[in-house]
Amino acid sequence: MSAAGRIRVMVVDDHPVMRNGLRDVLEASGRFEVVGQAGDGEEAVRTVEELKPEVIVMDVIMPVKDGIDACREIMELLPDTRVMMLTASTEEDAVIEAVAAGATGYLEKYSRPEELDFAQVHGPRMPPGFAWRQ
Amino acid sequence: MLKAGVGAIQKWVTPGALTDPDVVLYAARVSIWGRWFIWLVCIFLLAYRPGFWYPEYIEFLPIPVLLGTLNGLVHHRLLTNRPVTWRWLLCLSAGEIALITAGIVMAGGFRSFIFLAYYPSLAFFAVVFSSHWLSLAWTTTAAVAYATVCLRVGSGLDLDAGNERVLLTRLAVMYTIVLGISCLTRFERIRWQTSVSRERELRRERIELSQTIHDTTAQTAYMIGLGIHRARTLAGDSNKDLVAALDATSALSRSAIWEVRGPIDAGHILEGRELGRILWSHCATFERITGVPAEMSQSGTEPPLTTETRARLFSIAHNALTNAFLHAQPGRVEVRLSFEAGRISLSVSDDGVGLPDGHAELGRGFNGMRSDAEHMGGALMVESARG
Repeated sequence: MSAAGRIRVMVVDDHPVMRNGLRDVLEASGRFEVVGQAGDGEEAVRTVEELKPEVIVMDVIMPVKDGIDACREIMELLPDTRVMMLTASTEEDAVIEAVAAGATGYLEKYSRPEELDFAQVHGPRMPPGFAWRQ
Repeated sequence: MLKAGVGAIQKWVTPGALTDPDVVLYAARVSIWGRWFIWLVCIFLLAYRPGFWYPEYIEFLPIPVLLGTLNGLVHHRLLTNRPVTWRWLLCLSAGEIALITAGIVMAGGFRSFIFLAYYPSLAFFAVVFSSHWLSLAWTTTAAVAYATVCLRVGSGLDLDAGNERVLLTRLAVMYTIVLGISCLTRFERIRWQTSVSRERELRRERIELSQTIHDTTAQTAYMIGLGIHRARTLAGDSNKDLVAALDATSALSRSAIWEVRGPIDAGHILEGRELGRILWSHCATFERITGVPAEMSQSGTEPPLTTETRARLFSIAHNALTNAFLHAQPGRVEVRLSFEAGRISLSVSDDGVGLPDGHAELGRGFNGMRSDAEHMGGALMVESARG
């Protein structure tokens, strides 16, 4: 937690619009502090040890290194970090791969604002049949 | 074990690209039109040399009529965009060989000139099935049938007259034609596939570019929507006009996101994904964006469909969902995809307010859907509680 008691979050997405938008939405909630951003998985892995976020919100499909590979490497570097995958697709393959890589949950892009449950960033939910890594 | 054996035979029968519906369609078109061309040549020959057509040959008329009917049947499936698989083409060839052999039997065996019909029939088999071994096996089947008929029907072979040499020559011509056509087909198919691959690569690049643009647009619209939502929360109920304006703008942003998700999800068609899987994902996206529960169900196993067919069906589903979202105020939407023998049925229904009278005949959405359905040899049916 930050000094103000807010959860330290890092946002990783190749779209600057998405990164900045998520930063604004997360910070506006008053519960999160966005401590860093990255435009691809490689940059995220490179900076994560320095930023030490508690939660990483990361896109699945990105250039250079995708979210699944980056999640796997981040889990080795900082095993206590919770990674939330951002996905535009709810196809099972993407979710299963993310969980296998160590992700603790996923946020669906394009969800209606009132349904975008950021609470799951620190209390994630999963589809039935999946076990959460708490 | 039996399943593995059947699989191995199927792999041998459908070598290489014949599992690709686009290749089967191309091969089917070439062989069907080729057969009609042969028919045309025969008719011209008969018109030019009426002496070929002796009145006593009238009893053989059912043979060419049945051959033409077989070809017409497969051609009708092609014209109505119903699936023509390699099994259909194999049955067509088998039917031809059987009818030609029956004709030779009726005509008295070796002396009949009907054996000439084997040549184009075997040649078109080689056009469809580019495997040399399969073509040779098929030719051997026809050759054995023909040789048996020559030996057993009528007076058999007159060895003193050198009939056996003539028979061997005829059989050798069969093999030569099939091998020649098989080599040409393989060469042509490689050339065609190279050209198709190049075209697909160009289309893939265009789709990727389009997806990048649409993805950026969708994400921007989404972020604008989140911003509006935040503004709406801050505004509370203090200013009703402001709240109404923000709600209207929020709805517009959702509509924009949904519109641009169409081309993004359609891009998966070129990746070769099954239509059912793409529609399932599209329905989930619809539900997320619009908040309207969307249920997708599929019955039957999806057969290999051409890229064009999958793209047209996807377009129909997307337009129908868009209509439901924009005009029907639905509580829920259902998409049903059904695959029966040679028939595809796609149904999009909602429990909304229905359509005004005559609405189904108007607008680009319905016209586009109707045009897509008709291009596939199908029909668009619109039912509304009100309209």
